[in-house]
Formats: sequence, C-alpha cells, structure tokens
Amino acid sequence: MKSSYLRAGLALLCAVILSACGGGNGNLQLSGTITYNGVAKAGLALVNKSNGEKLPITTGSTTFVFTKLLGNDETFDVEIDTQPTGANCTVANNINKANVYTVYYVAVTCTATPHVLGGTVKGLRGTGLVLANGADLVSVLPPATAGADVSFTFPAMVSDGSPYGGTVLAQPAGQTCKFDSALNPGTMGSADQKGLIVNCVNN
Amino acid sequence: MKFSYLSAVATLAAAAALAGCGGKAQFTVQGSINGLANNGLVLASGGENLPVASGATSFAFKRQIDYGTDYLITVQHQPDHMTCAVTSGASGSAGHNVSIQAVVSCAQNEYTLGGQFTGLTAAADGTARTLVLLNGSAGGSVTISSASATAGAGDFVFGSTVADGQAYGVTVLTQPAGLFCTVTNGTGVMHEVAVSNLLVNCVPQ
Repeated sequence: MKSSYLRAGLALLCAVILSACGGGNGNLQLSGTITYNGVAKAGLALVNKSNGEKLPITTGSTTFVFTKLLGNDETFDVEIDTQPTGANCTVANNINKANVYTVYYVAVTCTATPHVLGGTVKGLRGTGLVLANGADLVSVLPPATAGADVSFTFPAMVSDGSPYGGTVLAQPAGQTCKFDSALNPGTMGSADQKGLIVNCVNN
Repeated sequence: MKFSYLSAVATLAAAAALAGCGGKAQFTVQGSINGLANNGLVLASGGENLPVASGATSFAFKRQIDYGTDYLITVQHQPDHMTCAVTSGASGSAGHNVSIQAVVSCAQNEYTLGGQFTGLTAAADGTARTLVLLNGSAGGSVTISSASATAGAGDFVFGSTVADGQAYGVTVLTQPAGLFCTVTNGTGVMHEVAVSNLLVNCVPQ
C-alpha cells in the first residue's frame, strides 16, 4: 500500500517536472529584425531547426515572430531556410537557449545581389568622355582603331532591383555623346547589365 | 634622541609630499580630429589660433594652462568645402579630467539638387500625373506630381543632398502617362552652392 502511494507520488512529480520543461509550453516569442541593403527581394523563409518550424517572410518585412512559443532554456537555432531570389541573407544572434535576453534579438541581414553596370560607346573619336551614374563616374578613351566600339563599366556595382541612370558628365572633344534610351534609365535585373549603348556623333 | 629622529623624518616626509603637489600642474588643450580632408581649419582657444592641416587626426595648442583654468575651444575658420564642429569637450576646467581630450568632427559640405519643371499637367480626366527623376543608383530619386504644379509648372528638389565635389546625373526614371519629359542641365559636379538650375520639360506624347 505504502509503496503504491509512493509510486503514484513519484509519477505525479515526474509529470510536473516534465511539463515544466515541456517543449511548446513556454511563453517566449522567438523573434527578431530584418535589415535590407538595397531592395528587399521576395522568397525569404526562416527555420528554427530546433523545433522544425518554418516561417515564410513577407517581402519587405522588417520584423518576424515565430508562432511556436519557447520555454525557458529551450534551445533554438534560427537559420535561412530559403534565400530570396536576387539577395543573400545572413543571421546573427541565432543560436542560443531561450530566455528574455536571447529570444528577441535574432538579426537577419539581407543584401540584394550586386551586378555590373556597363555597355558600349559607339563612334567615339575624341578624348574627355566621362559617363556618370549619379556620383559614380567612368572615363572612356577613344579606341586605338578609329570607329571601333569601346566598352565601359561603372566602378560601383548596382544591386538587383535598384534603379540606374547613366548620363554624360563630360563630352569628348569635338563630339556629342548620348545614352540610348532603350535600356537607360532602368532597373538592375538578376544579371549584369552590360548592354547600355552610348552613341557619339561629330559636332 | 629617538623622538627627534622621528620628527625630522616626519618633517621631511611632509616636505616631500608638499613638493609633490607643488609647482602648479600644466595642462595641454588638445584633442582628436575626425574626417578632416581639406586645408583651412583654424581652431581657437584662449586667444590662441591654431591652423590645422588637411589629414590631421589630432591637435594641441602651444600654450599650456594651469590646473583649474577654464578653456573653450572654438572653430575660428572652416576648412575648404567642409564644416567642422567641436563635438565633445569644447569647454571645461583643466584638471577636471586627467588630460583634456576634445573631439573635432568634420564633414564634407552637402548641397541640395533641384530645379524647375514645366508641362506636367493633369490627365484629361483630371487624375494627377507623376514623373520620377533619378540621380544614379545611389543618389536617390524624387517624385513630382502634377497635383503640386501650377499650370503644369513648379519647383522640385531631391530629398538626398550631394556632397561638394561629387558628380550628379539626373535621368527620368518613370515618365508620366501620356507625356514625355526631358532633363536639361542634368549633369554636373556639386560645388560650393546648391544646384537649382535643372530643367524638366514635359510634352504630350
């Protein structure tokens, strides 16, 4: 009789202890912030590898909260489940044991993929041509063989989804050059944009 | 005999201690400088002017001041194309801290980029038409609406400023529906004053 009481008591105690530690019965919201370098791209999904919860992120969202609550000392490991198209995201403060000092500070940083911006100058004969994409400048010298095309590349890359607009800051001697409007201004796509055309004519 | 030795030693010790304090401590009015990339900066303190060359990361006035003397560091003359300010420790009392450590921070002057637009009228049904101007990939954009225009004309200014010495190149990123706009004076290099001579002219397509 005595021993069966003891057993029942032990079982109860075990149950209480287990439920105290129990997964999913906590009250801590695993959450954090998302910062963007360049345009926010679609497709990001996070995962808490410790409990398997996946969380798709609304494009452009700057905060996120996992729906499964964590208990004190429950481990979490937030990773990128799916990278957005055209950007790369990294996580920090993402692996720890859950408590009020750890669960709210997962930091995700997404950087839109940079691409090269450039193109071809046609008909350039004079020296002094300077092309600009805002403050980013490139000087273009005439070709060794008169009449040949000259390619140019802006020094600064442009992020996927960011706009660009090339202008002629300085005209070459004796000529007037102009950007062809077909691709300029425009928005950087998912690959390098080396197709800008600048046409030069003699004055 | 014993006692007199003791008192002699005590006197000596007291004298040594006093000498330790003695001769008023001298402090150099000094500090660090961030971001100074042009010549022309002159700092002033207590009537002394101190020219500081481009690239300097620290400064120290020649004249030292006594413990307890108040000091005040001011910018007497700004460097070319930049604005400097004493961002911390501009004034105080010598000896309040172990040494005087002011901070002078300098930043390149920045100016606004803007101009006038014409021909940006509302559509026939009265809906406003907008155009977006772009200053390259990193220079920001400005959206102009016919709603803010008087007879299709008005002024605009970019939200982002352009640093002195930096180039700008403005293009029409988004044309208004049914209109075609062109930019005149769209490129140049910012120098000393705000640019307000950009002209955007829109004509029906």
